[in-house]
Amino acid sequence: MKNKIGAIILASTMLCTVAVGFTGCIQEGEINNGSTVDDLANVPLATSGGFVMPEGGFDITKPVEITFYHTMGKVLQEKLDYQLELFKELFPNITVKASKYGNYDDVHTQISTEISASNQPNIAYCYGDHVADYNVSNAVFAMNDFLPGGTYANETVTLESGKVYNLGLTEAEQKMFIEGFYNEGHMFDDGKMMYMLPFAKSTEVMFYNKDFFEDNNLKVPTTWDELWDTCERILEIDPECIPFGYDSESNLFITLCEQNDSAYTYPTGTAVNRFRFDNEKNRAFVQSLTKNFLNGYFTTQELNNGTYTSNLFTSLVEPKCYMCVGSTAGGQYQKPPLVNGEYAFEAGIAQIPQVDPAHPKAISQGPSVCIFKDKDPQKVLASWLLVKYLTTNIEFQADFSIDSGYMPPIKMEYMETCEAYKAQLDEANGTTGIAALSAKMCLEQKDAYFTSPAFVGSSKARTEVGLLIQAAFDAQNLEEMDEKIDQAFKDAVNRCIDFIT
Amino acid sequence: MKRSETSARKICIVVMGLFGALAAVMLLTAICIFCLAPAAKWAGFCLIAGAVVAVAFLLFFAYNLGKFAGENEDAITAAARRQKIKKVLIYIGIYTFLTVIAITVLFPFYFMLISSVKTVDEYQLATPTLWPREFRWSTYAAAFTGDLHLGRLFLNTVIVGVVSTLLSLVVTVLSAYAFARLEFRGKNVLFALLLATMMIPGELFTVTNYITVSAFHWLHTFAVLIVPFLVSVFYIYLLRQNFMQIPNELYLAAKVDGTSDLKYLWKVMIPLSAPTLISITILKMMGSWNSYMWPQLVANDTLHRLVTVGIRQADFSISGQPGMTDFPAQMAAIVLVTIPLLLVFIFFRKYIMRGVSRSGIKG
Repeated sequence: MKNKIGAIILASTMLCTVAVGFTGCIQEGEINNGSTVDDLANVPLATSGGFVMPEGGFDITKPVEITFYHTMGKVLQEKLDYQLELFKELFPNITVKASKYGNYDDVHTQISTEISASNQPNIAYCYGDHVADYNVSNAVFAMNDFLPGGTYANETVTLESGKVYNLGLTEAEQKMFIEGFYNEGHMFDDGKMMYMLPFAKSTEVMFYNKDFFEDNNLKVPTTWDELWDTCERILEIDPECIPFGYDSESNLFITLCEQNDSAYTYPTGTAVNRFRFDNEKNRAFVQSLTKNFLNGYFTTQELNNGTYTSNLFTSLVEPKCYMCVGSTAGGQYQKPPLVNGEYAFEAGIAQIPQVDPAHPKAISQGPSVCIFKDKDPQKVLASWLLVKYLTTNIEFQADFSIDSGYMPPIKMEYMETCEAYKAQLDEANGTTGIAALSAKMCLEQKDAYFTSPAFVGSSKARTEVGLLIQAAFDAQNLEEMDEKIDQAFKDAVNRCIDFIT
Repeated sequence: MKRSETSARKICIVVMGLFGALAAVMLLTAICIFCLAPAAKWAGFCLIAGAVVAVAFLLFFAYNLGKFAGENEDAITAAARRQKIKKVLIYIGIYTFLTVIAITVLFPFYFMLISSVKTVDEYQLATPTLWPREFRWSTYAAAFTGDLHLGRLFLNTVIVGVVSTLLSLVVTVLSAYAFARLEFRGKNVLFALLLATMMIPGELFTVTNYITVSAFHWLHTFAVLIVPFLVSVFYIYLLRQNFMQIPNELYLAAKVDGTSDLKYLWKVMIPLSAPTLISITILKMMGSWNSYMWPQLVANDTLHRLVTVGIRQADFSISGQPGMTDFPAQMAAIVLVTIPLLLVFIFFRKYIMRGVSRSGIKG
């Protein structure tokens, strides 16, 4: 009997061990071949976010006051105030109290504290990782009910003028958005809930010294391989320069993950399963970057003493750089300097180097807006109406883009219906009109945008992959490169896991 | 020893000191330049120049030391000579160290000052300039005329600073007196509990304090900037220690004369502890002036915004150049906000130092 019991225990233990082993294999498989960002972006949205429409729908007779936290400067606030006045004409019962809070992180900190006292605003500027943080307290309103196909998508509001206004986002309105920016709103958890709408966007483009390229008969590189060849040629022409600058190490890593179709992060699962960036493909491109860094082909913001590489691009003295990847929102910083009243050179703008130019990828940046839950459904509806009004308003988006340097999340064909914006794009050039030139470039590459998933710890991953690149570049020579890269990947993953466990 | 010889030696020591300080300054400047712009050609030159000056100083020092030793060989013994050399070396070491630290501390202020008068283009240079090529004083005018509303910010900060300091002094004096002079049950336990709260970082109270003031509907009022910080355990402790140094006999004699506790406190304790109270006043004012996190969280509207928050919130973007910020104008605003505090420290530093050192605690 004792032997039987012992055999059963032993067999059970073995079965458990085998089962755990299989589980481990499955998990390992997921880590290496798991869903990429594109998969999450393609997940169909749920038809409902759980909103319960009050009886009678939106009440245009009941006064509602809503709050909106943003980071707009004086000029942009004036534009916003103007639009809020127009919005007030449409919905006289809605009063919007807009408040400026420093920068995006300040808004995040403020709201994180306010949520603890259930005192959060109704609408706020946000980034994906902020929303993930807020949603730990389940504070963000899912917009699904009001999106095409949603429960209340076809609801309407009869205005005081008797005009019927669509409460939900119509399909025509949804099509106005650049897809990559729109999809950023549901890059959370299983990808089914929409928590943000894009507000003002930016991306990375490559600024290059057009005069230098023309004088030396150089072709603007479109792939990474072409880029390194061009760097080699530039170094032959000007041995004291650093041919190429890339401002953000984190963006460099994340973009290369996307371009190589390799895993970076995933919003759900165990800690190990979320941080997937330690894989062969990623190690290979970090190795390539390190080699080219050791060749003296490029630098980054941190390696450039923490200053933007635009400083090198616009420098009149060595070390100069002739190609520079930076944010379009900071396009003005790439403006060539004046020498005796004339611009030292003309800048050109191109897409960032790609792995596959036929399927370009460029990171999506810039603020979105989210709505917070409120016990008063009328406030939620008023907030939704304002968010819809501002994000799909061509005139406002045009004004905002012209004055901020950000690009609208709306496709070019819609933006060009605004005369002022069209005029701005027509004046685009590589000196005085550099901001317009970068906006034009951005709107032209509308199919290239992607975003990485947002979850608690995603901003940590972003920071760590930037540090990973810096650590890899610490290698003094090719001999110690592999060791440095190996250590950098291990450290980055461990720090990410430590952060969320 | 002749007087002329003594004077010569003093001059030599002063020259050596200056030379040493110069060497330290040059070396440190060279290191700073090297850190800021390692690629600049002249950074290497500065480093070499600094090193040359440092070596020259050492040679000069060794030569003079030998000279002193030779001149006074018959007068002083070898042991005394060694003692002297050791003393001079220690002094040189101390002053070199202090000079280096002083420069390290002052350099950011210097950089803030010169940045505040630079043009935007010069400010953005990859290799920062250590002296402005062109002075742009209009940045200071911009700090007042922009949307910063500096006057209003100063007024708000002064209101909060003065009221919170006065009320805090009342609370601190009464509490310190009770803990120092009065006898009541649980005094020591209560004081220990108060001291224990000093071990908890203030940031940990942020969320709970926010929930409390939010429930009181105090958000965006002056009350929220003043009331939560009226009690400072550190100041109570500081003043209690001071009160305890006043002889008990004075209190007993006053009691025999029929003086009340409050009268004794007002007539005897407060005058005797005036330096500490002045220190507390200054430290509290400085605290109000410098506070940032809490005011940003709870009173971020035009009517109640403080200077620190105001500068952060202000829009320094350049008209017609989207995305560009006029950082020199922002630096000018920071200089203007820093000046009052610097003046307070310059004129009242002895009270600040005295008050803090009396309690035997670092601030």
